[in-house]
Amino acid sequence: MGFFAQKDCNISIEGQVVDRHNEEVLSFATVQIKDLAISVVADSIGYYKIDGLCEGKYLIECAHVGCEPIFLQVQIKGDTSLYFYPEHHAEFLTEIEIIENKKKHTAQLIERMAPKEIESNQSLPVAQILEKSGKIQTFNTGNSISKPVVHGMHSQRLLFYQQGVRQEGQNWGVEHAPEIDAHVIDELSFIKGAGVVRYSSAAMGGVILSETHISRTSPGLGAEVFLNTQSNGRAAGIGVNLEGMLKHIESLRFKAGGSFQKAGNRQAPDYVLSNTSFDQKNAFALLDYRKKNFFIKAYYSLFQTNLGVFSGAHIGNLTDLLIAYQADRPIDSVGFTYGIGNPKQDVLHELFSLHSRIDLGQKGTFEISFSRQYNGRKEFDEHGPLSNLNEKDPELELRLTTHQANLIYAHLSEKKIIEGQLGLSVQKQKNTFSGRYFVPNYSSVGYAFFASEHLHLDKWVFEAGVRVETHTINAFVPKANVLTKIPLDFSNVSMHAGISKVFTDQASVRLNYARAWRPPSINELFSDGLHHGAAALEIGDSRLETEIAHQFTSEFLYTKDKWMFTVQPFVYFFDGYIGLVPQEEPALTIHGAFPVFNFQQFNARFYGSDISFEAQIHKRVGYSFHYNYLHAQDITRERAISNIPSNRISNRLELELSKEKSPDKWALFAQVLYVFEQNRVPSNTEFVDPPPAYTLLSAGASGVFSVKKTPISAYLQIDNLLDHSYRDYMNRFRYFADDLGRNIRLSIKIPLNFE
Amino acid sequence: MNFCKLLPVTAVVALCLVSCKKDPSDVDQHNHNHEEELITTFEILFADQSGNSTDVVAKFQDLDGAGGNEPTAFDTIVLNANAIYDAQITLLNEAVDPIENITGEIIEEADEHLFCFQPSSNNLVNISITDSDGAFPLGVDSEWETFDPSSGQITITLRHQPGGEKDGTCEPGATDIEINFPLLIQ
Repeated sequence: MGFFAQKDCNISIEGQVVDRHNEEVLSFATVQIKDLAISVVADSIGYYKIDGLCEGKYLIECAHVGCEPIFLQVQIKGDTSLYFYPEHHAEFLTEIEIIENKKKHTAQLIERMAPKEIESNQSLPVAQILEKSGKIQTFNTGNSISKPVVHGMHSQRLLFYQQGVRQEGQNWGVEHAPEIDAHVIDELSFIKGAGVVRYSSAAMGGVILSETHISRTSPGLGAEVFLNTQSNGRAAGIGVNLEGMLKHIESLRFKAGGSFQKAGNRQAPDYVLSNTSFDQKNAFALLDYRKKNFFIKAYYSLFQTNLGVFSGAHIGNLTDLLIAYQADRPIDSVGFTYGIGNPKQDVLHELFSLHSRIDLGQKGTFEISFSRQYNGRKEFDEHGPLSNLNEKDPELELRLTTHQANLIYAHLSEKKIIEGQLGLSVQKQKNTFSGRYFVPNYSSVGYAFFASEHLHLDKWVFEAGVRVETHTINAFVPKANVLTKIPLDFSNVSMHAGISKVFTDQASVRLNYARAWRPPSINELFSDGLHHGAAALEIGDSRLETEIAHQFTSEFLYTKDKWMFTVQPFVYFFDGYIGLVPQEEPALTIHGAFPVFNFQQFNARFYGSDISFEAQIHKRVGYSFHYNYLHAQDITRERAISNIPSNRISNRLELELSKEKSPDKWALFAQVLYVFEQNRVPSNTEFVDPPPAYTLLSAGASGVFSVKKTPISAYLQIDNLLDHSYRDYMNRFRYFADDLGRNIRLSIKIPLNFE
Repeated sequence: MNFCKLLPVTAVVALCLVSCKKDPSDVDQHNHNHEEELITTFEILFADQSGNSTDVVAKFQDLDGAGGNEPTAFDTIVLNANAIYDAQITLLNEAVDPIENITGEIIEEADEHLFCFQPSSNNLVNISITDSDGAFPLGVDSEWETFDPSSGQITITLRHQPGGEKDGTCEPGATDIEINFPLLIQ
């Protein structure tokens, strides 16, 4: 057999060219074997074939517009399949350069976090990683529960997607952070403002997209080991990801990993924050398979965390709250420990998703996806119940199961002049609780249909989209120990129109209008109880109606040589904004008197702007400036709205230290963040004045260096460098304790390769 | 070959099937695996030590807990002037059937609890706690010595002082109960 094979010059190589980041096929790439002067062009689904090769060693080059060319040295003995995964956007070391590659030609305001920013902050909650962009704020409960905030929108108005699946936890709760571990995040991007009809009608603040990718492009097995440690809380974490591609089936790739993190009590500059320890575990597996025009991806992840909730914030009533606030330091400050006591949260999130795509070239693409999520949340109060219960039972347990299915058809005209999508989505949900009543059991079914079109004409882009969504909710509300079924129906239309124009290479403008809506969330409709952390009674209203927002977002960008200036003004008009409104009479309870907040609807106006200036001052020095301004007004009552982030300015300087020609890369950075005082709060709603303005300094160093040919990345960062005592208006525990003191964080990534 | 291809797929699906977390309860059913802790009723019983008058009961009752409906009973404490009463506090959960008496739990955890009594003025009543956890007072039982006829309020709080915080004063811990009863001495 070998005898014949030697003369056999009928060997073929075939395969596909696929974008490394989103696994979409890249059409019309060029595949060449320069030595033989062979050059073929892949077809519209990225498929190519080279015939008539003899056995031997070849250098094959794959090139695609906008990508770095790929060179592969291969030994060919028989028919071979070879897949190319070009990198569409090169990865840069400094934060400043990332802006250049994020600007896809669309009207929407899309931002992508630099991979380095994700990697270096893996020890932080995802919201705090996003905050490092300088463009997203956070709403915190203590130090480990963080929710992202965009344009003053969070919770049910800002949606989080993991692997294309809308994350469904108990999103409505301000003390419920997105259930995801940073070790599964390879790519993190966000779209500001509504109008993403593909995703949801309710995303008034926008959407945050987290993706896990397989980056392996050659057969074999690789691994990445992540180590991190933090001085504050004496925290440590480890993560291991394995990636592989089978030698005989190059179209099949897998990635799997796990991580574990543990932190003890965190420290404010002057005292230990008692019961702020946490641990977090995470495991995931991802598999993708490609055969010509068919692509399928299966993903499973399991996330679990135990979080201590700062015990100095758990108060019995308003009197306690005022005493706690007036104290110099938290009343029950204790020493350092890794132990987690009550109050605490035990949260589990499980996601399984299947995503498949069929590329029909010029005819378009079909995508079908299915997902199931389970979110289990147990909340333990400060002290066990007085009645004879098992101490291990949580005071509140919520279980949420969500199924989603999507069918999307995407089409693309020749030369990409017109592209568009049509889609159908179904979501089924079931939520049950036991223990202390906060929200009722419910089941819900939602259907959505959407269509969007993009027209690219020379330097113009026109976009329009529409989405029809309907929700049927059956709530089972306990009344005098009997569950009363309350059926609710909400349907409405959201739409989006946008224009983008590029003037020369230096300036561009994006303008968007969107109409968004959302049904009232379950707590806004039915909550009725004490919020222990806030010492307030929150009362829902089952008569609440749909909240509608008219939004205008825009971007004006000007670049010149080594600098770039962007202004992103926006204005939102809300028709029936749902918010907590303080009532005049306090409620009399057996625990004492409490202020009462009712969920009510009013008209609201949000306006503001994000302003950025970034410059390459010198070959080795980069500077960036971000300013967030936001003004929120209840226009029904002509007053401010509570829980809106104050304005902030961040300045960052980066210094490249790498030697030219050296593969090692070193950089330093320093950052100054100034956060204004929030002086716009509605009167009679805050028990104490918002905290004063503060300045925080941080600094760090990063390096990529080779140890025995293994490129190791290391990041050293110091948050709150001066150990300054401060409180932030967007931390719900600002009444009780200062925020975190100095924190020195070290993260290391070690890639391993087993051919 | 085909088996090899399917193996990882099977592994992921199996992983999911094995570990898929299920919600055991139905939406239209109460989940009785644990009930809400609720103190619906605070009762204080006054017995005249001289036996000259009948017993007096004052009550605060809010059957559906905080929020929801208004309290169903919120009495004024009416006591005779210049008398000495033995007072006893009872805590009930009347939202369950049968009614649950929670006072026993407080006595069991006496080293973590303390009732505090704060009259609005010093010429109304003098209160001394007559029971203890062994080291510090508890306050389920107390003695009330009334002065001349007058009126005002009395704030009765139950402080929860866990983890060795209890030192006999009202400051440590958090408030479990706080009721501001109108007080009439006649």
